[in-house]
Amino acid sequence: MILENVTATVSTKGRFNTTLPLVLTSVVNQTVKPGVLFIYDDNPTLEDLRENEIYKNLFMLLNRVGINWEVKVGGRRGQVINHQRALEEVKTDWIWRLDDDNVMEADTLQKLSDFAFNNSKVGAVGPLILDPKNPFAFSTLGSNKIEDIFIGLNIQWMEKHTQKIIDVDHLQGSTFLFRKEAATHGYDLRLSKVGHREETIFTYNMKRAGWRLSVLTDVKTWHMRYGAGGIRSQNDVKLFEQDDKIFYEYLKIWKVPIAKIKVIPLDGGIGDHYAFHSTALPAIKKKYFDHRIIIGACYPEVFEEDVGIEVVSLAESCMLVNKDENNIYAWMDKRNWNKTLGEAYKAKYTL
Amino acid sequence: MKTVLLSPYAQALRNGKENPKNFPYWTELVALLNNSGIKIIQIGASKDKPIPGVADFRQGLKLSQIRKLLEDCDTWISVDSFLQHMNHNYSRKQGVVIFSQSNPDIFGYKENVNLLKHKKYLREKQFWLWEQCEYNKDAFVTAEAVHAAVLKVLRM
Repeated sequence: MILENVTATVSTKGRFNTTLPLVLTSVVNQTVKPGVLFIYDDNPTLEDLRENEIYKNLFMLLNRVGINWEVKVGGRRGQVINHQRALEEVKTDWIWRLDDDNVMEADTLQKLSDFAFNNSKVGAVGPLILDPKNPFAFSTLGSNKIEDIFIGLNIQWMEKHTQKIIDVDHLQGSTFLFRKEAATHGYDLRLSKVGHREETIFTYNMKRAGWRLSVLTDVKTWHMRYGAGGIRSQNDVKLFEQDDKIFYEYLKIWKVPIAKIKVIPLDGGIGDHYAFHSTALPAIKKKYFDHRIIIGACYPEVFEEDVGIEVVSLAESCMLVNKDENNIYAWMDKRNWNKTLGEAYKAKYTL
Repeated sequence: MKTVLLSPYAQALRNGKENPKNFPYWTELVALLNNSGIKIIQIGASKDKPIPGVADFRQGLKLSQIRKLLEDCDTWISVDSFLQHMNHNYSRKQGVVIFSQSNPDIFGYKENVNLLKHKKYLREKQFWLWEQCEYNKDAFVTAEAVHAAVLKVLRM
């Protein structure tokens, strides 16, 4: 079955010979297929893919299953420009944004479109976006609320959920199906080539305009996170910082009260946990009174009677912070520490 | 009758060797405590063995159960292990802690009797792994010294 009102778009750079063929194969193998596919080629030098043996086959295959495809020369100024162009060039009511290292399960578009087409208020709907190298079942810290944006752990990265449909403030990951009508605000073209937080700005603006954003937890897209090409071909930290500045401007305009968090991974024994608890925790609570204090613990029972803190597994906390940088023994060793272990924890986290 | 809680062993090392924090004279100490008419409760992990002479050996307890034992006992004895930290967190009841190569100024608490034979036995790298440290029997005080400290704490 072909959905004539859906155009799939993928912006690509440096991945012609790695993950892009996987994306096209996944599109071909969808149980319900998009009517059109636009590939935005953002490579610095152009290659006629029709002369490439793999793509010759893939393009013939797209023709054979009834998908009209077109390779467009990208703006070569990053994916945001290409996403904006897609908004202007796509003629269908719906756009299915894909990343150039995605592998979508075969029923992805079927389930996303079934949901979106039957809910008139839906602006965009996304799948789970899972890294096959790093399967992550569930964390209570996961959130797609805009105020939790800096926790950096969204529900779409987690495989196990109890709800089939979760309404969210913004979609993360660069693949989702959205209604063009809900995207009249467009993309922020001030963002750099890396387009850091572009999808958050784009989708949260839909939400602010009254559209519903949802995640379908029974729909999976695998994110290969291929090391070369794509967004990572611009490794300049300054670009990310520059984009974050723009994002902070949005937060001010949106008047979003950002949740401040303090994450402390306790990678130690029971004694270490008690030393931390008795000496350092009261001071940490005092210093970070306006933060969410999240303790990653190996022995959560040490904190059973505590209020005002959240205790998660050490593994969960290490999704957010670097465990090695929080090793108290390394910290003490580096400083030739001669006070107590508890005082070391207190100093590390409050001074 | 006075009751003493015993936590004789530090965490097992990953290389299978004896933890350098483990006191070598527990059997002698238990005999001395028994002779003084003191009731002993030993706690331990599932792989630990009871010290000869200990009649009450409890393994695999929950932390809440150990906390209750700490509250109920008259004093406690341990090597440099979790029990002193747990005690400091809750009751701060005076106990006797047997040190050898780790520094009580860093890992101990002032409310306890911290028995260190001599500073010369302290390991140079206090914060390195215990697997990187050799066992040294000479670094420990005697069973008699620990016994005397316990009697003093119990005012016996």
